[in-house]
Amino acid sequence: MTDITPNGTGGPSTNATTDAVRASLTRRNRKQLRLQFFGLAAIGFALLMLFILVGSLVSTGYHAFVQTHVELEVFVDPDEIPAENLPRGGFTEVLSNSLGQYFPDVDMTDRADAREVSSILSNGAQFTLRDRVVADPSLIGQTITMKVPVSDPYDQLAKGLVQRETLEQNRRVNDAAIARFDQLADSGMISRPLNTQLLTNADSRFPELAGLRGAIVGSFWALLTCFVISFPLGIGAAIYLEEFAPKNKVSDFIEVNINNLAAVPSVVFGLLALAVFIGWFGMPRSAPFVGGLTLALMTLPTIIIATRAALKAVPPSIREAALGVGASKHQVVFHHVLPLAMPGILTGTIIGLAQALGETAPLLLIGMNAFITSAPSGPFD
Amino acid sequence: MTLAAFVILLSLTLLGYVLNMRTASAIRGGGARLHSLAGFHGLFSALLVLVPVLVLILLWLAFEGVIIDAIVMASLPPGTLDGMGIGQIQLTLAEIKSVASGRVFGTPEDWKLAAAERLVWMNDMSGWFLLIVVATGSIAILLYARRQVAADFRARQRVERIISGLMIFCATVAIFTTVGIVFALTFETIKFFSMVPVTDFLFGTSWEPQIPIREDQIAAAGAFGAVPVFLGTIVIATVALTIAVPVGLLTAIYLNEFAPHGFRQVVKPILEILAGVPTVVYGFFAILTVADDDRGDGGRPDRANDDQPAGQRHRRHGADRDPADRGYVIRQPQDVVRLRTWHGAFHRHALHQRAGPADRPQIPRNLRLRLRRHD
Repeated sequence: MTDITPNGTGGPSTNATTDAVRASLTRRNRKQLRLQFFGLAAIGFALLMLFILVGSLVSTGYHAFVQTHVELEVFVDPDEIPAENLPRGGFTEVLSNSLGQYFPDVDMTDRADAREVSSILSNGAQFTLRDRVVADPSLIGQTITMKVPVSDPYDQLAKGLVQRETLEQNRRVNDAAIARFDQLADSGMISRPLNTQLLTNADSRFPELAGLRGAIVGSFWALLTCFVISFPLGIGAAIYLEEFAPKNKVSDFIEVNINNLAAVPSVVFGLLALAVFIGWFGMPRSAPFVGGLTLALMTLPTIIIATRAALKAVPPSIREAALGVGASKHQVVFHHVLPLAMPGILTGTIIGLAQALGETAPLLLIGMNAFITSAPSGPFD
Repeated sequence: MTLAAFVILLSLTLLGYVLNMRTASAIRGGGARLHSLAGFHGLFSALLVLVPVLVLILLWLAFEGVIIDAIVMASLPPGTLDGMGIGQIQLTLAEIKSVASGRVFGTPEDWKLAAAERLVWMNDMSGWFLLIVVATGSIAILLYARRQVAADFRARQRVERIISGLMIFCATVAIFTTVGIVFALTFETIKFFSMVPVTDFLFGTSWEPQIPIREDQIAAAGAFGAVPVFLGTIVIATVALTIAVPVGLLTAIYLNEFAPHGFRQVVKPILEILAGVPTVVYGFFAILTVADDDRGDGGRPDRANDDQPAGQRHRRHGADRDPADRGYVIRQPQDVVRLRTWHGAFHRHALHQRAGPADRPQIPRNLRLRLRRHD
């Protein structure tokens, strides 16, 4: 390739080339600048989308980390709570009466009014009181201080999600309720601590008591099952296909199958699980184990492909040296190649498991979107 | 009971390993020349005990429930199941099982109580039986393996053959999965097309799959034309790709070719967050945020929630595909670019030369892969 010198002393043909190139310089410059501009614009668009996504999630969700609690004096009425049958005592009435003390202008014998007043407290307050009294029956007849969450409409009111300016019939809490709540707030009984129940409670019918524990524990068991099943299977299959399989039609067929499975939509694995695991084998419908099994089938091709790539990346000199030292084929693979390929294998596994953690489509089909009010205690629960 | 079986299996495996290894080492210590390392002798015994018995336990656990259910239902007094549909039979079985586990509602009939007792007894028996079979089987195999230890016993070859067999089994799991998928889909498809004619499905223009399943259910008549479903998918895919392909390609080209090093280091991980977000989050985001904005109100609860217009989903799908496209273009060999630039061609010129033959087949193939992952 001849050097293109600026003054074109190479001869007439080089002169013409140089002139042609220089003539098109400005046009090519501009094209490159345009490309750069579009590239930057595309990056800006993508970043904008990301920020909108994350921003909207955070801005609507951050309220959930704080919960409104009310601290009230509860007189544990021995008339309502019989000492013989503690768990079945009238804890709701106790709470209702105690709360009614703060609103002397409300007639607590009127059922509707009483219900309105006691609706300030969350439905779980009675169970908190019950647990305390059952643990320490000497509390009967005493006045104790309790800090319980408020029910959902008042919680939203305190967080500003229920606008006080909207018309009364469009609001969740009417004016009288707001007045009562404000009265409690003015006397300092309302506090807004961190919502630890978000992590310790499972699903609930009452929004103020709902938590993520069911989802977290279920995901943990399902992912654990997925890892335990797909990791050995995937590595075994990949090692066989990469190192030991003879180049015949059977191994070609297996390879085609695995590449096919990598591209199958995850919904189809859900159908497979529904038909075979739940239909044929009769496994329990909402167990994390079945979910983990489905996810394992889905993650298997990813792990196999990543492991094969990692094995291919080990230099052949290692294999030859090991064979030269006298190792058998198995020893070459398991003692020399596999440890070197482990970082790549683990990367592929992490990617596969991260994908599995986020996949909901196959789990929907095997019925794992059930509404369960307690976290699973094991993978078969 | 099953836990005990697993514990016994595990301990006998370890025992076999240690026993054989010690014996082999003793032979070596006695001066003879072993064919295989002592560890392989131990491994031979361990694998020989572990693999068949583990398979046995798993098969037992898988089919125990079904078989016991069948036996219990068959042993009910004759005539109790006459005239019951499949649903009622399953309901009866569920009731018997709940009685067996201690949750009794009301007063069940005598034969149900008897059946529940039989169920409990059979489960117990099955557990004990499994334990005994596991123990005796493992010990028998252990003794057999122990007898094989000798100086010229080719333990390494046997172990390697077992391991190869295990790996072949792993590889064939993929085939089983494919066969399972094909079988499940075919079975359901045959059932479907026996109820709905094929022409109705392929050319019908109305998709309303609500039909009564039982006789006493009230539901719509149902229409199973799939044309709206196909068209909807095509529309979504087209809009998604129209947004994603240019944005993704341009982002990749810019990051790869023109971006200064610091810029790339910061922007690349941020954009890869887009690829790592679970797809269900995009769905929720589209429904809760984008759809509300488009409708103009702040999500008043009394507004009827009709079918989500495809527009919101497109934007989400577009954003989702960005990093994937970018990733594949980035993986082009850098040395080709360096070669051409060194020869005096312009940056962009080199790019177009290189982005021609090298990755042109790659991009459409990648797009097809991404398209298929479109649930």
